[in-house]
Amino acid sequence: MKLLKRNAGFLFLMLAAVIRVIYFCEPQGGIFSCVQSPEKGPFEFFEPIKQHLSERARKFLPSPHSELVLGMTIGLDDLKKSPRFKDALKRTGTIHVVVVSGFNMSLVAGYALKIFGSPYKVKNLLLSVITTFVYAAFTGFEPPVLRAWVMTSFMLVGKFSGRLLNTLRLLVVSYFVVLLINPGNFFSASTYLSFLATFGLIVFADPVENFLLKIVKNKWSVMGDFSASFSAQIMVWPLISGMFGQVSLISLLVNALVLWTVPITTVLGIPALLIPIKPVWMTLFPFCDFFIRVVNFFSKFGLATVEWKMPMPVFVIYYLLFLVLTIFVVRSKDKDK
Amino acid sequence: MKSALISQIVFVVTYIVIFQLVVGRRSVTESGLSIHVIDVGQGDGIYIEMNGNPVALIDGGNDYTVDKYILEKTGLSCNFPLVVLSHDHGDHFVGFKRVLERCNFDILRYNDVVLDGRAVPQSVKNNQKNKVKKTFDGEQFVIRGVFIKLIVPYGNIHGMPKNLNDASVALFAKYKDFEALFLGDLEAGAQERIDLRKLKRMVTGRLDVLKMAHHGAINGYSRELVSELKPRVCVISVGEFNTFGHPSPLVVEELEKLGCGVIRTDKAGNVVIKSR
Repeated sequence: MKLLKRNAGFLFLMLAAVIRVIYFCEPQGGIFSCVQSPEKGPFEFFEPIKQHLSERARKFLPSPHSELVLGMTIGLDDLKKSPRFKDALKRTGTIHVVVVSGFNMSLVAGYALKIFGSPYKVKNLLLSVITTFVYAAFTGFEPPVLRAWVMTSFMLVGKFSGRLLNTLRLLVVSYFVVLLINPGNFFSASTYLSFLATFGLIVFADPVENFLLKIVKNKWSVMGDFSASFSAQIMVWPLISGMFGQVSLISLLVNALVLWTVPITTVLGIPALLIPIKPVWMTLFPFCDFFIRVVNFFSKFGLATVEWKMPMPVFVIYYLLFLVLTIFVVRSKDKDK
Repeated sequence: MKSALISQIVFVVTYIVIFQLVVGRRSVTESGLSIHVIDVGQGDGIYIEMNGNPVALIDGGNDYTVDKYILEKTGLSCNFPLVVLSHDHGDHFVGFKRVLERCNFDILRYNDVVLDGRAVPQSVKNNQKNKVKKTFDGEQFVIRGVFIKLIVPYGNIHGMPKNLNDASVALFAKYKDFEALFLGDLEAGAQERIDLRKLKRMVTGRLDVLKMAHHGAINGYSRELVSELKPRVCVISVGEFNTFGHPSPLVVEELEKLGCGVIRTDKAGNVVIKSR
């Protein structure tokens, strides 16, 4: 009963999300179809601004560099015009980079806090949450952005109230908020890819890095990126295999080689989009170019990807095993505390 | 703290330099005239250079592949003496428009037969008024020693034409005794309107390169033009697994019978032909 009381808010949220999905989505001709959520409509007025920014990027950078920056900073997907690079990203398992993610959100929240001042004032907190909301809306409120916005907002509130929040619990809460806002996300692949990748990062990134440190002894710069991509990959690859019938064999290596350019490109890319000065864009170029060259280089390998669809029983067993492993990791983390 | 920052910077710089050395850009300056029929899939994108310097860009394909190719060839700053849009179809203008957004050009020529003029952005028309013009039949230039003549068989068709392919601007290029003809998407009827006697007078012996019209489709093949100009190499810019069935096997067979070596971008990738 005490447990029920403690989790009443959480249970209420879960129930509301489930009701909303059931209410808006129904089976039609063997597949589930959801009523188009009205939440996306009000943000269409951002489209001309996005168009303007993409023209600005294309003026200073060649393709696919401009598409890379636009994807990383404002989540604009213009890669259909660079199909070969898009294919290279898929083959190397790096397509996740060309979307707005939790990193962007924490970056914008960081900028907002620096501008508005102390996070311990209600006004500053509200302004920061609104700023991140506007950014999320601007990038199109895709499931990964929505998830990141919910988590960031809760983190800000946590900071304000001086409470240390459990990130894993926050992830689950954000999942239900994502469904509440748009029930159509229940059937979206990017919802699950984003959640599983974040789950992997929260649970396994630190243990993997610690394990690597034990083996290698010295901390290398790529070690953090390797641990992060490894933790995310182990959670998402069965889903990718099950949904797309394809697995990238070099994803870990390529991610470890290029991930360091992502924060630099994002940090430089946001002001570059706002200030149309050539030198700002030119500082971006080598990082984007490096990323593109590495991705193109590795995508040419014959065995970069293999066609394989994971059978359903293996899929279920895999995730069950990871659930058990998660419980073990979380308990050992709690013990360490 | 400071030394950690320095070591991080050194690491990043070394990392980039090593990688650039391993798989970096290896742009070799070519002497003479080079014609690059870029593998843009189902579409056209042609880059002409002289001694490694840009001369002209004709069309740009259906995506941004051409922009990437231009980057490899010219580096970040690009300046074209001449850019020509053959006609207003997406498989010719999407990449062309992309290049115009980034690169400078001295002269832009197009046949503005579609009233909305979507292929040439209004901003480009407004900003570079003196350089941007609708072309007319027979207009000619000499750029970096390369003679270029524009051919518009039907002239400017007013309003929306019945067949936009026939409104294509064709381009004849000559450097010393090396000649090339680029037909855009001109269909057979329009090709037969080209004054072949005049054209033949400019060709020394056989035509060196013929960029086949309309991706090797049967309706883009004029037996008369090929028999008269006797091209040595016929380049077909075509996408792998395209749904139009291009190029027509009949056209390929005919060209080979007439002694023209067929090179297809769907099989060969980017095609580069150099003058002797």
